[in-house]
Amino acid sequence: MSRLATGGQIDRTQRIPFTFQGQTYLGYRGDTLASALLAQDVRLVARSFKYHRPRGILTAGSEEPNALVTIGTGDQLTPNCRATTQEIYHGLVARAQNCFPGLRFDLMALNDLLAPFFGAGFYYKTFMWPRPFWRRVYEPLIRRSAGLGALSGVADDGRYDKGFAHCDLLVIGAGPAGLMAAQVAARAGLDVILADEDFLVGGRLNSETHEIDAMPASRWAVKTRAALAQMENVRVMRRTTVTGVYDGGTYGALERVSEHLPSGSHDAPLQIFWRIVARRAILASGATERPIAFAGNDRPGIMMAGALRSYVNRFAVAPGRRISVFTNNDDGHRTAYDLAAAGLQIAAVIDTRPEARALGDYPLISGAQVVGTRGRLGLRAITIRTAGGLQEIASDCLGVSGGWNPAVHLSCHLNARPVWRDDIAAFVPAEAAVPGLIAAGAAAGEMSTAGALKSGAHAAATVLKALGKRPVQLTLPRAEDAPMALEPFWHVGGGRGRAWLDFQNDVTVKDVELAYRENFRSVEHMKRYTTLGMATDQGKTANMGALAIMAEMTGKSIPETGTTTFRPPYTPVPLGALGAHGRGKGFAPERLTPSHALLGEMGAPMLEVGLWYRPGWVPHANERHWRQSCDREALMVRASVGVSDVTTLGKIDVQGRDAGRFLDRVYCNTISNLPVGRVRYGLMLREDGMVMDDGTVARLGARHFVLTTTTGGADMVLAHLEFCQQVLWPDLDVAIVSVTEQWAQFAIAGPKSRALVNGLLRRKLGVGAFPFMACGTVRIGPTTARLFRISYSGEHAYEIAVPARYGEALARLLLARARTLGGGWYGMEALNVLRLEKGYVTHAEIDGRVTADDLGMGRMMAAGKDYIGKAMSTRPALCAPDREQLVGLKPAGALKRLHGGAHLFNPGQTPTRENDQGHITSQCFSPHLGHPIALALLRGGRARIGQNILMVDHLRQVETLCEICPPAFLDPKGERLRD
Amino acid sequence: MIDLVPSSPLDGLLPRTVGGCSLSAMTPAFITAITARRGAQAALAAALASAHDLRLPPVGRSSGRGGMRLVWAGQGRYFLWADCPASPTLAKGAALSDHSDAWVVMSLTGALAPEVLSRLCPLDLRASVFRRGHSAAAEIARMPGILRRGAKGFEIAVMRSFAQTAVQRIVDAMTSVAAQSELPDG
Repeated sequence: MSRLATGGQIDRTQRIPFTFQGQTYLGYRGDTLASALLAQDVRLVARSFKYHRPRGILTAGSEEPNALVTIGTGDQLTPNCRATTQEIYHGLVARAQNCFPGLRFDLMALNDLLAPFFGAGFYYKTFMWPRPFWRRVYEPLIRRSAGLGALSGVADDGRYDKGFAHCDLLVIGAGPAGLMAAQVAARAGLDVILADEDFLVGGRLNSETHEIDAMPASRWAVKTRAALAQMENVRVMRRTTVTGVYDGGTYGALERVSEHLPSGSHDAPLQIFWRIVARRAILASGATERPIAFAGNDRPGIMMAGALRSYVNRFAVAPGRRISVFTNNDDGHRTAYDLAAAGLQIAAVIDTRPEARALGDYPLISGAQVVGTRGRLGLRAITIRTAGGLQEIASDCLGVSGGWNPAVHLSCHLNARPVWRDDIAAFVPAEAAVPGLIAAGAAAGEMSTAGALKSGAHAAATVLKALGKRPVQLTLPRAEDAPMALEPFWHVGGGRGRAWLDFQNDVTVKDVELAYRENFRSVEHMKRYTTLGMATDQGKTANMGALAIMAEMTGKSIPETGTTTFRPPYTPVPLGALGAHGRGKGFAPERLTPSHALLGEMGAPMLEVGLWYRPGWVPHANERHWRQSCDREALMVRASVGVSDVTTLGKIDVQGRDAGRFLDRVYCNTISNLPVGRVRYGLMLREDGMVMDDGTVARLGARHFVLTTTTGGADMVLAHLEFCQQVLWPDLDVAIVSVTEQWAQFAIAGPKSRALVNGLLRRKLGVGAFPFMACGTVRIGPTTARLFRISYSGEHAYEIAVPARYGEALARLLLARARTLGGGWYGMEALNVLRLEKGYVTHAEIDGRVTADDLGMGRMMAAGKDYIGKAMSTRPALCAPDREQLVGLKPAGALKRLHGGAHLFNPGQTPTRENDQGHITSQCFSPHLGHPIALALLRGGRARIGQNILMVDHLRQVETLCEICPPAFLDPKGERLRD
Repeated sequence: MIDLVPSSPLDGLLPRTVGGCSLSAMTPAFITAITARRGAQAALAAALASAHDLRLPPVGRSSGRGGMRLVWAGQGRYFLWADCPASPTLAKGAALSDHSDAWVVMSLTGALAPEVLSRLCPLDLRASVFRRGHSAAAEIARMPGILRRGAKGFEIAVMRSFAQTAVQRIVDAMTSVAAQSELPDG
């Protein structure tokens, strides 16, 4: 056991069993998977990406590049979980990734022997020939051998949620700076959200032995959190990583709600993706310790020096038996001091600075460097170089510290670049990098505890001032104020073997040197050529070292060399969380018609029309194919009567003194002279002269019209009318409101429709009364309804509208009455057949590229008035006779197949794009005529009626000779309508 | 004689209570869409005062008296939620359209109601910002709706055809929030 006897912020009364690589271990509440494994002497936890090198735990935080594991069982697997942030829970099952057959013996480690061939960009050079092999052989091979964890291929059934939060101040990070800032702001009355990625509040305070106000710093953090939790205006969000910064003070944040609990024990989501909108933000994200590159620096047992303190101080874990530290700064000495104080044996502290001094009683070798390491599956010894030569030191754990990089990432998400500070040899956030965001604490380069507390308080005071609040006086707690003492040192030259920079993508110092030699010298080019910083950790531990080396080689300074671009997310965000609420039907809400339940009872399959659900057809028991139902329904309407729900069509109330004038301007035909009690077909054009939508206009009163739109065009038309009213002609007295949802509306079509309608009405329609295109108010029992004599089928037909609450009852009544007359319900497919037989258009024809003239409705465009689209539609090119015009098509040869979307060619010409004459917009089998029919847009079509044209479906390899005919296949004079 | 039986898409779906949060139907008997006519705002305000003793609310607010509410919902657009039909005298200053069947209105109450809505609605609904009587035309679970904070909780109006989805989404959020509130604090 490597668990220390005392100390740590773990609950030793709660022992938690978990499994790694099939073996069960025990940890304590408060452990991460990494700390629990280290406590069990498990040091080898992963294999590297490219070379399958044995890897251990490098860090104690979210920057971890190595210790990625797959968590879960069966097909519910979460790959690439960082063992350093994953809390253990009862029954957690984790396994190593990227190794076969096992972690200790991995066949793919063969790659490591072939490393000389696998340098940066190797595949661009190695796999050049033969060319076709790249896609079929090389790339699949590389893809299979590359990559870390894999998804199971089965959909993730975990629960995810998303949310929106708002606050005056978002504090990112709950270390000393963040806690202090939150306190100052909250006491002054601001609404504060304090977010931290850890499950313990306190940040580095939990990993150090510092004191604040004469109490252990971690206890101060607990006390402060408790005080904040008492305040109603503070929301402390633990396990919440702010992952991205967006415009307008919007921040993305991922809250890990229940990933630390056994699944199945609750209904809570695994994660919530928050959008936090904050008036101000304080970036107190702390700093990340950076490694020094040296030969063989990737062995399990080599860790960050600060992480060693975390494991000892926070988790009470001894990370090794004989521990060394390699550092270029005083902070590395703290590790030796704390570890020695915990009773661990310090083999040596190797400090690159000749003048370095020991903080305590441990062997110090100053002015020295680590040049090599030994130990295949775990560190056994290090080789150091001093003025006196090389020396080997037996050591199973090495802490490395190259200094600390402020976590500037979020400050760069809106494209600002960080600025260099020589005193700490690191980049800090630029001022005003993100509007409304101030950096504080270590994130701003304040590396001491006292400095962080002060800077947090100061940042909060600045925010208070900006928001016009009076700060409440708070005494700053007392804390250590050690200055950062460091000598920049990035990598050890001259050692034997590879020195790793990016552990997760297996990029070495040599790769960066190669990139330099091959002239990929800009950091952005170097990044892409070597893939440095492109793994899931985004190079948090790697980037600085690499750009320092590039700076060295180009002879430029580090700030001149610059950083690569920081992009969201700060840490990986699962797609499940981003897509929360969007799975399955969550993708779009459903709009249901009043007849939905009735049609469900009849087993009608539903089609989606926008968000609406409409029945495709209503199958009878003996029908096996949709066409059987469709043909029957279409013939039924022509022979007796059919009922269909048309509630989905847009209905817009237009009222006011100027309603007629307004409609004259938005429709190309004249509306204002429509008598009360009559309906007119209307065509709306866009500004560019193309048809926007069609529908009916009913005049219910002198100043009251009701428009119908197509189902799909309803929103667009309403928005268009509102724009016209509010922006173009605000002087007109007109009020527009959608009444689509108020009315349940049903089409009743067929020769027996009048009988059906009359059976419902209190006052029957007399013979000759209520002619085609009439409208008015009627009574069905005590209910007032609107009746329209309009038709989309070519039959004598009505539409009847009742307040929606009566919709379901009316649907059932209509169906029952229709059945007694030999009729029934008809669905969308039959509706389509009926309108095609009659040559009526829908958005298949009104595709945004046709004019009124193209549709054969040129005469509707009123000459004596102005309207939207008039200027353009009267230009010669938009009414030229050779434009594609609406025609009907029917098969003229032996083959009777007509296909929607197929193109038309002159018989005898080669069917290529240059000879294209048009295309079929809609087609169906007409049960009335006994053969397929189609509507098409054909070049100069109206003048070619009676001629033949060749339909070619290039996708299905079908050619059908067709006869061009007028669009109306049935009753061209409209006698059935008017009957 | 035919007598059509009315039905509501909320029939059989509500009320629902999950973890101390309740969703119940409260669709008023009459809803009238009131669109103020150009230049007739004062006439409308006067007609409202005399006919219903109601104040014309400013942008983002609602006014009320007894069981009656006048909810702002957009430029020059108000909805009157009431037990009786809107007085025809309002037509002096506005166009009136009957919307009694166009909406379903639900009431969401309970201590966690704000947390539930924060999963569904992007608006800032903090009690200090969206106060009692405030109203908004809002996206609710990807559906267009109207939101109002009443004395007991939130009032949520969605268009009739969306009712079933709205109930599902709100109850899902209630379930998720309740489960989250019951997690051990560790």
